[in-house]
Amino acid sequence: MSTQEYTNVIEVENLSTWFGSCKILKEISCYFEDNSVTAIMGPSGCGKSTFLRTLNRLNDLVPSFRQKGIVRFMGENIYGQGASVYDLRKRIGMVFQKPNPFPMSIYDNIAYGPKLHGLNDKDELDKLVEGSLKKAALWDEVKDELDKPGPNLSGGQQQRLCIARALSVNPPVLLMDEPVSSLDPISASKIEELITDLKKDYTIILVTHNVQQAFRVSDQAAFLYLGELVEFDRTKRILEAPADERTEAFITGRIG
Amino acid sequence: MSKTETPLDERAPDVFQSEKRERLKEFKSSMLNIVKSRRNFKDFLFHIILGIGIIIIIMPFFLVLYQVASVGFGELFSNGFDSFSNFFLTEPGRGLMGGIRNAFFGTIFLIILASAVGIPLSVFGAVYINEYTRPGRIRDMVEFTSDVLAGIPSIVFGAFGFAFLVGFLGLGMGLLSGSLTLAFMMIPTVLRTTQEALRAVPMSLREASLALGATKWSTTWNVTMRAAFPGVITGVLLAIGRVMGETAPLIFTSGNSLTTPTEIVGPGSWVASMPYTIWSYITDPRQYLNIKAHATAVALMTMVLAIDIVANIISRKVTRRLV
Ligand SMILES: Nc1ncnc2c1ncn2[C@@H]1O[C@H](COP(=O)(O)OP(=O)(O)O)[C@@H](O)[C@H]1O
Ligand SMILES: [Mg+2]
Repeated sequence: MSTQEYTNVIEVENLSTWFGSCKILKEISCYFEDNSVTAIMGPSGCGKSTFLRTLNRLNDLVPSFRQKGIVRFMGENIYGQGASVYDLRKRIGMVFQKPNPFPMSIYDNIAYGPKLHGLNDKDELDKLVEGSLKKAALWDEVKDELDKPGPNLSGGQQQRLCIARALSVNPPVLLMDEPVSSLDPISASKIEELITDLKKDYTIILVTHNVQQAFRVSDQAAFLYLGELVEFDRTKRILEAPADERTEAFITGRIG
Repeated sequence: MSKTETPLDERAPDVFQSEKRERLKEFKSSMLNIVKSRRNFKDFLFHIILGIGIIIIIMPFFLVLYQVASVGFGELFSNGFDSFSNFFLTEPGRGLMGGIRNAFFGTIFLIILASAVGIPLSVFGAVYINEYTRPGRIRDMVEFTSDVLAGIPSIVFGAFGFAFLVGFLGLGMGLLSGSLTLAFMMIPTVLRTTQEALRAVPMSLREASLALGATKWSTTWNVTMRAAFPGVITGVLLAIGRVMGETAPLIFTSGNSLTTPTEIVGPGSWVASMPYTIWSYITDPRQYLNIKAHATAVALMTMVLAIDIVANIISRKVTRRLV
């Protein structure tokens, strides 16, 4: 997979998707640069989650799902022949809207991914767990209770645990689907801070409902409306001078 | 109270008295209030009816417990712990004067074998139906069948076991036929509770595992089943508790024996069980067998209760540890 030459880690060309006969995404083309945060904005139901889940082929779980167009990850079409969905998902991490730690200890939550992919050495696992928790800014809070159940943590901690879990297999890309929408403002701002930090090492695609948040953390932004990619540019440019009236309506809170 | 010092024991009754009077007054006024207002009176009546209902609901439990225990405990502990262990560890012997070792171990063997067949079958079945098939005709059919199975009277299971296992398959009566009949009875409970437990696992937990590059298989066993485990174990233990006390399915399938079985099929596999023994002892004219039946009943009830408690502890512990 990684032998191909590519300019952007993910490139989307003319992507359309359907659930049954319902067309959800309409001829979307965009790209995601290395080490950047891209915000995907839009009113609810416009297809943001569907778009994100098309990038790691999680929509394949839905029997009625169909897609047309090309999604290139590191130069290779992820829907092409012979592409391994397991390999793809290992290298594109995902964080969900509601924190969903596994019903296991904090340690096992993080070790789950690496173990899946064949890592069994205790010392290396320990190191990886520590590293992942540190990257997710959770290590200091949980280092003495790694054997406690993950689901016992507070909401914000759970979400950072989920981020650490996603980082445990060291994916170059991280998909985040409204990761703070179910959290209190303090936990939310902690995670926003974390996203800005993680940008150094990861390409982040962040779905958000929240214009201010997009403004604070993202470099690029995409505005989706009814499955159509209305705008795709630098966040600053879009938010300060929206080119389309639908974007402007969304930013000013008239739709959404 | 007098101003002069009074000894404590003399003063005390006085204090009580006044307090009592106080309480009585309160009670009277509250009763009066109740009767005064129609609304309150209705409420009061309703409470009384509910109270009677609750007594009627829980009375059978205590009556059974009292009836069985008052006779049974005498037999079990007539001679301290010795008589207790003798009851379970000696065979009935001449005139059935001894213990119920045959039935005690018989029930244990039957349950182990029935569980070994029935539990994996139902759990794998539920996992397959819920996780690997799409909702549709086949799923509906399996669920419908298993619901019907749950409603079938146990004597019909016995008749079926006799006709199919003992007769048609030629297994004869004994441990295997009895256990398989019990296993059939366990299937609907375990299958449906496992399905319910799986259904309660949020989709996003499965997705989180798949999004890490896990296979469906690994996701199912390491994440989904783990989250569903407390529910599954509860169903399993409920099913065990249920079939443990069944007589009807065993009457025509397990045979009966005064010793523990030496084989799984064949003549040496005839096996006694505790419910069967209770039934045959209680219908026996000999008075001392009647008492032994009560003692066996106490033991069986305690075993089922113990399983329930274990189920509770496991599921709570697992729940605390995992969720
Ligand atoms: N599994 C599914 N099956 C059928 N339709 C779906 C499914 N998931 C989402 N949809 C539909 O796709 C549209 C976009 O949904 P979604 O991507 O979740 O929106 P957003 O995340 O922007 O709020 C909605 O109309 C929704 O009803
Ligand atoms: Mg969404």
